[in-house]
This record gives sequence, C-alpha cells and structure tokens, in this order.
Amino acid sequence: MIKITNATKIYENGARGIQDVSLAIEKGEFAFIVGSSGSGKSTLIRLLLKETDLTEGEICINNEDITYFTKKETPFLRRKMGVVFQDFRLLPNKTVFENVAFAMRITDATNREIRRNVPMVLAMVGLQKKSKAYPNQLSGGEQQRCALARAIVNNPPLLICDEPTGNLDPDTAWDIMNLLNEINDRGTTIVMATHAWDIVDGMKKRVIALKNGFVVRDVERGGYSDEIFTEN
Amino acid sequence: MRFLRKTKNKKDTNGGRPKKRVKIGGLRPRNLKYYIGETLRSIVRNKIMSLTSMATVASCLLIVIFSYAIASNVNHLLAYIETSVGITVFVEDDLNDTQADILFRGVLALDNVADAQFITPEEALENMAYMLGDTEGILASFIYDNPLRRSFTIQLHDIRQQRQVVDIIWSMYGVGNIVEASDFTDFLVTTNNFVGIFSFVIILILGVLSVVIITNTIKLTVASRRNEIIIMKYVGATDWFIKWPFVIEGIFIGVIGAIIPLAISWVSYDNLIGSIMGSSHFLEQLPFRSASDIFPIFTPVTIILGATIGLLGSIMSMRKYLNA
Ligand SMILES: Nc1ncnc2c1ncn2[C@@H]1O[C@H](COP(=O)(O)OP(=O)(O)O)[C@@H](O)[C@H]1O
Ligand SMILES: [Mg+2]
Repeated sequence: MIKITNATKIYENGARGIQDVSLAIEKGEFAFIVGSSGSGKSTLIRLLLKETDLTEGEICINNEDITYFTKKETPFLRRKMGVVFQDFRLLPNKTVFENVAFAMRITDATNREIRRNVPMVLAMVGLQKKSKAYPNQLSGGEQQRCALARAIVNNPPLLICDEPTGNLDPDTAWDIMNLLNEINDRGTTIVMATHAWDIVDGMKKRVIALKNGFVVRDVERGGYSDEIFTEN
Repeated sequence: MRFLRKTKNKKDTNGGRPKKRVKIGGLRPRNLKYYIGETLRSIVRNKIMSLTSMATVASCLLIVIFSYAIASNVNHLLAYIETSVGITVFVEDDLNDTQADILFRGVLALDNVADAQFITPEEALENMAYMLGDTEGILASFIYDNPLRRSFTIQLHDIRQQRQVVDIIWSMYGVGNIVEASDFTDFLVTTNNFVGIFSFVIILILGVLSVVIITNTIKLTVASRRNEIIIMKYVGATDWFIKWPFVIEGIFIGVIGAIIPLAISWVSYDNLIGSIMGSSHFLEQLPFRSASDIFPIFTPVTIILGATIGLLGSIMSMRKYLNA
C-alpha cells in the first residue's frame, strides 16, 4: 500500500523533517508512527498527503510513484485517502451532515449517493442524532467522530491520522481508537502518528518509531514504552 | 460493511486520475446548486464589499449606457440629416443656362454627392411663396422679374465630409453662394466625438476600478474561506472545484451591477428624450430613438460587459491563490 524508499525531507530553513526513511506498509495494516515532538511524524504524514515534496528518495502509494505528482494529480491522490487531524478541521458554518457531505461533493457523487452514504457513516461513528448540529455544538470527541466520518465517507483504501486523539480526554480517545480499529477490521489501511504511549501500548499494533527524523525502531505488535526511555 | 462498497468510479481504472482532460472544473448541474448557494452565502457575509463592487460596476455601466445612448442618437440624427438637410448652392446671376447646367453636372459628379436637384428661380419662388403662406401676391409681383437665383440642393453620402465638398464646390466656376446646415451637424459631430472620448476615459477608469474592487471583494471571500479551501484540498478537491464559487461570485456581482443601470436607464430614457424634444420646436421634429429601439441591443451588451468585468475580477483575485 505504502512504500517509502530512502526518503529525506529537509525544509527550506534547513530543519530536518525525516532522514533516509525506508519502510513498507501493507494493505490492511494498522501502523503507528511514534516519536516525541519534532521527531518528524507530521512531516511523514504531509509527505504521504503530497502536501510537501521530498528532498530525496521516493514514495509509492498503491503502486503509484507519487514523488513527482503534479498539482493537477494531487487531488486524485487525496481522494483515495482519508485524513484526520488533531484539531478536527471541521467547517464551523456547516452542519455535521454538510461537513461530511462536503467530501462527497468534490467527487462525482450524486445527491442521491450523498443522501444515502452520509447517514450511513454518521450512524457508524454514532453521530446519527447530531447530523443537524454545528461543530461548536459538539464535544471534542463528537467533532473528531465527525471528522472521521468525513475521512471515510468516500471509502478510501487508506486512512491517515495525525495525532487524532491529541485533543481528547482518555475515554473519548479510546472511543476514537475503537472506531479506527473497526475501520481497520474492514480492510482499510491505517497510518496514525501519535505520541500517546498508552494508546500505542494498548492497541498492540505495528509501531514505527522516529527520532530526529530517522526510523529508530519498527516492530510488529509493539509498544511505546521501551522506546520512551531510549529517547533523549 | 455495505457502505464501504467498491466505488464504481470509472476513474479508478486509471489510478484515480482523470483520463485525459476533466470537464472544466467538473461544472455539473448538481454542483451548480451548491456553488450558487456558496456564492449567495459569501455575498451576504461580505455585504458591504459586495454592494460596493456592484455599485462601482453599476456606475461604470451607467456611463457606458449613457454615452452609447448619445452616440446612438447622434448617429441616427446624422443619418437623418444626411438624407434630408442638404447643401444649397446658388448660381451666379450672370451665368447662362448652359453654364449653370455644366456647374450642376460638375457638382453631381463629385464623389461624395449622393444626389442633387436643380431648382429654377420659378420653383424657388413658388417654394418661398408656399412657405410664407402667400401663393398670390409674391408670385404675381415677381413673375416677370424674378429676383431669385438658380440653385441646387445637394445630399451627401457622408455628412462628415461636408466641409471638403463645400470647399470643392466653392472652387468651381459660377458659384454665387453656398448655404449649409453645417452649424448643427458640426455640433452633433463634435458632441459625439467629445462624448465618445470623455466617456471612453471615464469608462476605462471606472472599468479598472470595478475590476480592482471586485478583485478585493473576492480576495476577502477567499480569505474568509481559507480554512474551507484548505479542507477542500485535503479531501481532494481540484483547483477548479475550489475556484468555481469565486468565479460565479464575480460574474454574479458583475451581472447585478449591469442590471441596476439598465433598469434605471430603461425607466428614465423615454422621459429624458421627451423633455429634450419638448425643449424646442426644432428638436421636436428630429427622430430621436426610443427606448424600445435601443434597449434590445443595450441589454445583452451591458450584461455581457458586467459579467466580463466580474470574471476578470475573480480571475485576478485567484491568480495569487492558485500559485500559493
Ligand atoms: N513547515 C516547516 N518548515 C520548517 N521546518 C519544519 C516545518 N514543519 C516541521 N518542521 C521541522 O521538522 C522537524 C519535524 O517536525 P514535525 O514533522 O512536525 O514533527 P512531529 O510531528 O513529530 O512533532 C522539526 O524540527 C520541525 O521544526
Ligand atoms: Mg506533529
């Protein structure tokens, strides 16, 4: 699903985002990208989203080399992946329904498909009763569930999350994790950047640890804890 | 789960990318409703700037309509004058009939002369008596000793060339005098040119101003929807999908800015012409154009102009955004 080869990202100001990262994530996998703040997690996520360009190396998604994708091609890459961020990024002046429908409108979806699929995903994330609410009328967990609904409504094969639980209290965070697990069980590949060690430990999924932009550890069914002491 | 159905999107066979060329921004009827909703929302959100833009476009186009109305009337009047009011050439008294005939043919042969009528002193006397309302006395007293000269009236192809034609005729042998309706035609031609140049300058200034103001209005909209645009990009919106609402907003402002002056001028045009015609007996006889003559042309022209101004404004406001 994702194949990264000797990828290096050095920002214009000289900051090292990631350095010589090589890894492969298979279809259906659930992979955590862990590491302390500034270790390059978000940089890796942004590279997958083609939000920023590599300095060196290459990235393939779905057997497509996206390294030299043009501006015109990027939207079609992003339609094949859902994204969830720490800060939800919902549109404040649109209802929950519209926020989710929004992701369908930009594709070829018809109004009928929108009316059919949006309530289905809202039900799946447990927001069916809130579809007419505005984001500021929702709790943090509900907002993130709405963002999650938006991310999966187009049925992307890949879901990318950057600290999705960073703004949530532990219980709510676990609700989101359970949803992600459920989505993963249905075959969606998930890449999640986080520094929430308890969640990583509890999930027992693949853990890819970054430090100063380098991959320092990559284990199946790993935890965060042993790594936390080797850092800094 | 069922909602995670395999998408039937044809594009997937090509790795999610467009086959060759996407429809321009994928503008489809079902999206149009969404775009128009977005447009109205953002116009309401930026009320003041939207109204300012519309007012600027409206004043620009009001002047366009005004000067076009003047030009259209002046051209119409000139055409009328060309066929009705002419030049009258009086033949010297001491020319004999043959010489007068040679002069007449000479005049008739001039390039710009459309037609000419020879008027004998007798006809002239009859005309004069008719105009004075006296068919008995004058005719009777002058019939044997007619003081009037032979003359010809001339119609030109192009009344703007009148000056040159008159100069040529003056240089011909046997011309006693030339009377022309030049003052009025000169006035019309000068007015027309002046209005043309003046309004061209004003229209240019206001046109540029309109585009600049619309550009700023849409930039505000773009700014107020920055987050929305970022999110749209994350979920895979193409540039054109993002741009359409702003293009529509620009065109909408331009078209409303065209409809306002059209409505104003349409309502007031006939009254204005009425009061011009009412101001003198001379003007009353002139064939001014009516609203129903000119507005069928004005309306589409003005609306297209407004839409173009709006389109320019939105394109300029997005040029920077697109490079970002
Ligand atoms: N847009 C940017 N411009 C310049 N430097 C950046 C930018 N984003 C991140 N960095 C730098 O790249 C490194 C990795 O940052 P980031 O990927 O955000 O880490 P994380 O998400 O793990 O906290 C840091 O040193 C950070 O300062
Ligand atoms: Mg980060």
